[in-house]
Amino acid sequence: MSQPSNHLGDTQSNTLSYAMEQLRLAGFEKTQCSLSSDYKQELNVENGVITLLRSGSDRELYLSGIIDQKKASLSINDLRNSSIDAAVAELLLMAKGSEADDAYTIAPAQPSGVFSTGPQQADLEAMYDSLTAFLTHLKQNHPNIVMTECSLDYTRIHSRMVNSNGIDFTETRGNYNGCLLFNAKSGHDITSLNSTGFTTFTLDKPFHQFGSIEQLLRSSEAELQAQLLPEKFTGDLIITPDAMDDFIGFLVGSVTDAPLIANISLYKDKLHETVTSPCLTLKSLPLDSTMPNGYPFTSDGFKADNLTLLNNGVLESFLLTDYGARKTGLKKAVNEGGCMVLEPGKQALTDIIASTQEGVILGHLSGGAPADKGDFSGIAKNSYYVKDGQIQFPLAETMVSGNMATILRSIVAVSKDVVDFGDSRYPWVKAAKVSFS
Amino acid sequence: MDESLNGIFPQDYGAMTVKDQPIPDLTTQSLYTELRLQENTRQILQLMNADVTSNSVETVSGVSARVCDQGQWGFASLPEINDRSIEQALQEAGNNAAFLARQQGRQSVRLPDSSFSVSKDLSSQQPAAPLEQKLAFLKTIDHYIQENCSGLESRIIRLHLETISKRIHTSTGSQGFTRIPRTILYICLITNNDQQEPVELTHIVSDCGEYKDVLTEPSNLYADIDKIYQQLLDKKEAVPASAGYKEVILDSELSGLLAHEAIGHPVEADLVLAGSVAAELQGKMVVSPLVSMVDFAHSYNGETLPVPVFIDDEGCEPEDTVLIDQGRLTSFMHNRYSAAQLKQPPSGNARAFKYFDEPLIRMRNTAILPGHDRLETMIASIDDGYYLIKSNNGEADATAEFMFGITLGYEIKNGKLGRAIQDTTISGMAFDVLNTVTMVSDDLHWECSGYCGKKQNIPVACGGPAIKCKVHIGGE
Repeated sequence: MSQPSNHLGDTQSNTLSYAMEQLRLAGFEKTQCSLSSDYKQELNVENGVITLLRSGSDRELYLSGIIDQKKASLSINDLRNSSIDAAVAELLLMAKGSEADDAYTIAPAQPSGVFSTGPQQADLEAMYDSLTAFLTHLKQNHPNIVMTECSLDYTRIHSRMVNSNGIDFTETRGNYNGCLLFNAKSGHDITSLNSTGFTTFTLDKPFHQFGSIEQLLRSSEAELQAQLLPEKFTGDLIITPDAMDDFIGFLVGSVTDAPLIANISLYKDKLHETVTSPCLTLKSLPLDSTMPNGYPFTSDGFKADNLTLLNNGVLESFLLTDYGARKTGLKKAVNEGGCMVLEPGKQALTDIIASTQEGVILGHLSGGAPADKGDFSGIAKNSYYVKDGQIQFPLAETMVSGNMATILRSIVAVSKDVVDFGDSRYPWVKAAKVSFS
Repeated sequence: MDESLNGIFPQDYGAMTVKDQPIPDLTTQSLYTELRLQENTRQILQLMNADVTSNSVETVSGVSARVCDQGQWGFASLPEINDRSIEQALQEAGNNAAFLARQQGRQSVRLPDSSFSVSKDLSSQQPAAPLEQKLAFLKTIDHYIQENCSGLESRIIRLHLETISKRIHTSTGSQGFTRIPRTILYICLITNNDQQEPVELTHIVSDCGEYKDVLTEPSNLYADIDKIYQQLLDKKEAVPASAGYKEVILDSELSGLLAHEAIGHPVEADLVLAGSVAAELQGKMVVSPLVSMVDFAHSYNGETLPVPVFIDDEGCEPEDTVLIDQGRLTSFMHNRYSAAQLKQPPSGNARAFKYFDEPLIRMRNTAILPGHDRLETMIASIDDGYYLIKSNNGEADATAEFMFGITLGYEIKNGKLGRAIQDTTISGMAFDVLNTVTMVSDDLHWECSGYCGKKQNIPVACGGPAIKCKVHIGGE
């Protein structure tokens, strides 16, 4: 199957040049435009069978302008000159009708860059073979698994960003993404849904070996024997890599623009202070060559760099954009997060479990979004009860309650075992004194 | 599949609007074929402490086609609406279906061949409001909050306007055009408690219609703001809930979420075919006879509902789907394929969010129907429990286990409301919980502020009365 050409430079350049010129003629003093196009091919599985091949493209012309320190932004995917003219006229009305803010600006001039990463064409036959082999693997090795949804896609994004200070960044990035939603069923017994995914540059190994897939398939089948928690207790919480985003996400979300500008972040005065257990070193690595979802420049027009968010528990940076930095008077971050890597520890997971007197291995937290101050409670899905150093049984209907910030401070162990999801790499971690009911 | 999807960038093929573009006759197609032309527009305005922190508009439009070849589906989309993109999308969708048909062989599925035609445009009859007018509305609300709600750390007012225009044609002869606007206003108040920790509460106004039809006067919201401010002050002093299995009253916002998450998802026919617990329960008494539940297509008691669907994205006529009738599980929600599989009529639940999304079985306006009890009587009937009012999210499982985040609730002690409780989570097995329902209030509140995320996000509406039942609640 032939695919849209990557050599779109001239057309893209013409569209961007035209848009920038129209913004200038409209009277905008500072402008930024980006034009991105994506192409996707996706194989979909429903109830264990490949049922749909989807292909398609989309695009977005993003226009942002500042006039009299008033700002507006707008995006369209109809790129005819007449549509761009209408969009610029609307943008001008939006900006003039807005409020002035001294913090509005655009990125300063930086050296231009052209970046290209990952496969530039889909290998549909390889995708089909990979997914078909996976479905055969399921039938042969995991007969109780019901694969409710599963997809494997190839996505290529081509984007170029320019602004009136002269920045000019171009990137083309291709990757493959797998996504799964499944449970186990045997007779009348049924388990909770489980989900995971991965992103990769190459389909160089069997589908079930990406990320945590094989581990979760085995785990789901075992969950057919789930039992209720014997009684309420306070003990250890072992957070699996698949559940880690809920906890890391609370910290990351608390150090971004919105909570810091609104002055409601728990971490607002904690830069360069210890905010979590010293066991935790957390990095955001968008330039790492092993991160298929990385990015070379930020959406506000700055060349990205890797950063260390936590260094042995010390908060080393906020994740503020340029606007957020100007509003708060704090330092702008060198990237906009994502591609998170939690450094592994020294203990084997088996040793961490063996040292647990009583606790729960948390596969997935199904709960309400934590409050700004970190309080949360949720159901421990796809989870296991641990007693006297042994995994006892999978759990049903078990509630876990605590405070995200407190849990991050009470981490006592980090495994040397790691799961690489492609867009993040996490070990297992153990926190103490968490309530289960 | 040897045709190229050229034209990532525009060429002058005389692009037209969703409504006016000529469509080829699809009834001559030998394979089941759908064609959809769609435009989604979204405007977001946000004031944070009087600063305009969002002022954006997004328009996404294009054409997509889906073809079924020997039981195998192909889908293709292009970000342009013109004769050429329609031709390309149809061709590519056919190629994609043929690829799977070649790889996987013939499957015999006879899709229902019903046809339906409709045209509905719910655009406002009033002139479009300029940006200045919308901002002035938000600023007036912000000013009222500043003047009347002392001690706030922060205030966020966000206006979200969304319109979806669709044109659907199928090889079965269906033709439809709909234009559905939706308006949502979020008012979020944040203060600090005595420990200098943030405490927040959000009030949401949402309905079908354009800005001027839904939000007429800022002063209409002042009573709501006064109420949410008082609730925020209550929440400042909130105590943790006592964890365990408790008698509660779920207010209407929560019972609507319960209808959607806990019962609605397990009775979507694709999940039924995947073996959800509902698969074996059709026709059986599954919950209290006080509970009836319907996924409405577009109207209730003669009123247009918040997310009206006048034709689904497979060209089927949307029917109200009675999911539970006085405690008995009656029907599932279908697309053409699941209807064929389960030998039941299609219900018109196939929906897609953007032009590049394929239709999936999705809910529309899902509600527990009102009963005959007064809320005050319901509260008075509880000696030790909770009155739970607001939620920030919910999740359901194939097992019918559900959970909701609770952001506002009060203790009930000896039939009277007590202290506010801190944010918590409730959970339970949906059928078990609804079996414990002993009272249902006589009102019905609708909301359409959220998106349901099932592969794609999509707007949905939830409705419900207050219900008295028993659930697990998290806490100390």
